[in-house]
Amino acid sequence: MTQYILKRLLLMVPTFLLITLLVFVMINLAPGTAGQAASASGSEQADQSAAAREGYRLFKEQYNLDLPIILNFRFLLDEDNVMRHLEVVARNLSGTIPGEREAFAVGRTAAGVVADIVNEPFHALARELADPDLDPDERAALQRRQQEVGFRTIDPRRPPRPAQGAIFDSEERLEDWGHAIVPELLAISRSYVWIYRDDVDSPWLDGVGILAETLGLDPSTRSGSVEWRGENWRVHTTLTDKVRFLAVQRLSVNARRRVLIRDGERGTEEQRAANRMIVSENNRISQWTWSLGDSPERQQEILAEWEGWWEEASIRYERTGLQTLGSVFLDTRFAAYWANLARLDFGTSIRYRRPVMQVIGEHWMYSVYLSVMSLLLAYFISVPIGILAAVKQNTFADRGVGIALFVLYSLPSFFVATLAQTYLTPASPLDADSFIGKVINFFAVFPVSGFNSVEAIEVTTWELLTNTLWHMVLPVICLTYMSLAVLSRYARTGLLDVIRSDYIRTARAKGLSEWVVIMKHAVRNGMIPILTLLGTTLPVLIGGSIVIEYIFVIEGMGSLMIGSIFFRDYNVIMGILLLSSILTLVGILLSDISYALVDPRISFD
Amino acid sequence: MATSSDKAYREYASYWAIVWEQFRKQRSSYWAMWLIFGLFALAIYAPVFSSSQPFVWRGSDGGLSFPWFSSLLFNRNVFENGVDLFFNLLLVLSPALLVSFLLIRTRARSMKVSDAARLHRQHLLFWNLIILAAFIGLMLTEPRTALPEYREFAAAGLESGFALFPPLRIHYEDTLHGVTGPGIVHVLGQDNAGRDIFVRLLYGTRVSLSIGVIAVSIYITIGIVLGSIAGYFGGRTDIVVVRLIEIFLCFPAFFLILTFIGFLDQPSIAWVMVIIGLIGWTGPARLVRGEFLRLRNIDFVAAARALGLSNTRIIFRHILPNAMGPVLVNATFGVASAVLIESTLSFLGFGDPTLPSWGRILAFGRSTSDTQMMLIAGFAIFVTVSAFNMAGEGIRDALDPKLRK
Repeated sequence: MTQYILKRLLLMVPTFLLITLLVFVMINLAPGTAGQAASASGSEQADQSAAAREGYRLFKEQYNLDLPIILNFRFLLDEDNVMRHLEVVARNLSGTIPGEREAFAVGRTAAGVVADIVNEPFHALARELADPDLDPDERAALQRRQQEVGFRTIDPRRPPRPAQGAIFDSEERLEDWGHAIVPELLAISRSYVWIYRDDVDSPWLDGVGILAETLGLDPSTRSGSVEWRGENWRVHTTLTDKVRFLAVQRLSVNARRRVLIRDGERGTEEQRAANRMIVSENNRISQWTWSLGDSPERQQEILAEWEGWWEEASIRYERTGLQTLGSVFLDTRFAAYWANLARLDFGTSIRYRRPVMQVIGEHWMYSVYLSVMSLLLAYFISVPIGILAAVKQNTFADRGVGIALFVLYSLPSFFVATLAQTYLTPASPLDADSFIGKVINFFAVFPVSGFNSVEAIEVTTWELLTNTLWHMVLPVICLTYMSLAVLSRYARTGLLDVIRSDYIRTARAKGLSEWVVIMKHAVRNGMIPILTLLGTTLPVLIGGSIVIEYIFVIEGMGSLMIGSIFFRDYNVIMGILLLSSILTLVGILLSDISYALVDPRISFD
Repeated sequence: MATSSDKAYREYASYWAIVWEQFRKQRSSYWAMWLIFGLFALAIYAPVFSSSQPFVWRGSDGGLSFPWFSSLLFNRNVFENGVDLFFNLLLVLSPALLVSFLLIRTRARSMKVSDAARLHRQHLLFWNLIILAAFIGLMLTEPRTALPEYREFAAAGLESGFALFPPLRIHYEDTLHGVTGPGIVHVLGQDNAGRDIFVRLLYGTRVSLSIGVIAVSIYITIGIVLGSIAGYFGGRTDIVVVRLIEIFLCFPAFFLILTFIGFLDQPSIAWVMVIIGLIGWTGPARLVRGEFLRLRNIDFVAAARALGLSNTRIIFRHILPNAMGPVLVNATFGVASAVLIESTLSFLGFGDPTLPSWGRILAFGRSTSDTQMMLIAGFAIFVTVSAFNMAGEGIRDALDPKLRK
């Protein structure tokens, strides 16, 4: 027996792991980002309102939705990855900056200007070649050199504006990468320096000078910048400004630290102190941005702030090889999910802004009251009915009970509950003059809904108890009648199986009275199946009845489930689902064990 | 030409013939079966009783047209969703189906039992494919042509016009506030939005029956395939399937259904069918597995194996027909519970909002304190559910050799 229980317990482990795995898959397969609809914003407005955007980010952070699902390779990200996504977002920025407007005002495109800069060596050679008194050999050498240098064409069109989906995707990605790209963002935001007339010592000094003269502009205007990168010229037009702007903006979000105390938690004194520090640092960081078109001086100031911050913070971003390896496996949704489960932490409810366990804790008692009452009632009624039907098998009574139970079984519970709520409450619409109306109205005294209607705090326990019981009459009846049919049937067949057996005939032959034969000999064995059913009702106890609780407005688990579905409060849904599946597992185990305990004929060896 | 050996074949009663005889002896279940057939007939022929389109219409220009017929399949302005289209398709094809069935039955009379069975099987497959192909074709196209308001023309009493309407000139989505013309009768009155309650109930039959039948077919199919594989092959396959069943059993079914529904932006009836279908398969899978475990070591299977038949053939042609009894019982009860689940979902507000589901009608009656509407809708659900439950009990008793009379 002990061996059997141990075996069953061990078998429960893989089943439970598979269940949790299934739930994990379900969360991550849920179409649309979980809670997107419910988190203060909608997905449409998410990129419009900054506050909504921030709410959405916090939401994702809290639910680990910003982490990769199975494996985390974010340590491999480099400047180019970040750059690519920043550029996609930057192209979408509509604000023009002053330099850009002026450059285009003269009738030249940015591409044309850049082409001039880039092709300056070619043009210089061409100017030399234009001299009519040139030596033929020299001319040939110059032409060769000109060919080597080559003429580069720059596409005059602006790069196409990325699709809305791509922009949203890039923003989302940059946001989700979070801390992993802070060093890269910092590098990008400080790497592009302006080319001023005095400090340009690059080979393009002349080019920029010529540009300025041609356009009649001050080259210090932010019309563009040019940078030497390895063997290639990388040309940064006004896009660069926007990229840097975005990089700093992103930095001020991504560099924020996770708060230690979540919504609805209290935490210890030390935790609160640390939390305050983090919050104040986050607040400071969030100020360090500039807006498009701010002066270079202001930008330098802010960059200096960042440099100062980095000196302190860089230590947090240094990782040993082992830590990096660990983050690949542990810094994922999968790992976070298991870690949370191990602590019985199902996350935070979006709807209540409190931990799911706390929310469930507030609701489950109502369901338990309801279910226990209904279950007791069902057993008290169905066992005698089953016994009666079995003893009087194939008589009028048996058939009558059978038909009545059949009808009850086929009646939808929401229909019965609605009817009861309509006709058995004081607002019954029945005509009080007719006979049927008089009879039914006599019973129309029950409260419409709610668990109890005790408003005052100072009521006696007795008043509270009677009030609650009075409110529970209709819900319990509606919850009971359906299980009544099932249980009575079990009781009847269980007893019928036993009544036919030999030992009952022996008991009768001994001359025992029929009452003793049935009640003492038959019922004890005949009720084994119905007794073992008790174990499997464990999840029902907690889960409650969705429909009944919905109709009678009882804030139990069923109502919680429905509300969570309407709110897309996935954490609560998954919490309830996991909890009830665990209870089912335990319930099945209990019913098997009780079966073995009650019936010594059953052995599991 | 019937010889004496043919006659011997005819007199041999197959297993299912015996079951049928037993089933017929149980009067209540037998009548429940006819009630189910009646409900299906109501669902299929609902447009014959009520439609906003006239059967025949002659406008002022003198040309005859048949708007009712074209509205069934070829104009999405009247019937938009798949459920209606499917039943309309059955309505259009039903005369051909009937004729073909009668012809086949006459032919099968003079055949051996096994040949007749094969003929029936092929016949069934043929029609299934036709209906499926036609339905897919209908769903892929979306013809729409503007419709004149025949009802208003007729109500205005155009002298040159002529119209022959169905008994009720109402479509289930029509909101007729105060519109009363000749022939517009609201048998059970109107709801708050001005829609006719009787017509909505009538078309609600389509929703309930299609949910019941299709969801159950989905899970019976999954259950049969997984259960037979597990039971036939045993070993590791069996362990995997049994584990899967155990996992699914651990989730309370209605919670799981609600969870999946919660993932959907707009729950359509097709999704509800699929979700119930994906969750209910454990019952038939366990039954089929049990039957296979019992049957796979019996001599006739050993004989089939000795003949060198393939596993597929042994599973589907030799063992499965013998294991179908409990599955049939499970399916019949399953339809009842699927109807119940669907109406509960629509009662809670998770159903397809474009369809006249009974649960929705009940919820609407509840929210508008229309007790008559509540009672009628609840009664419709009750009748359907109990008809299927009753038929299921009849089949169960008919299959039980201990209860044979």
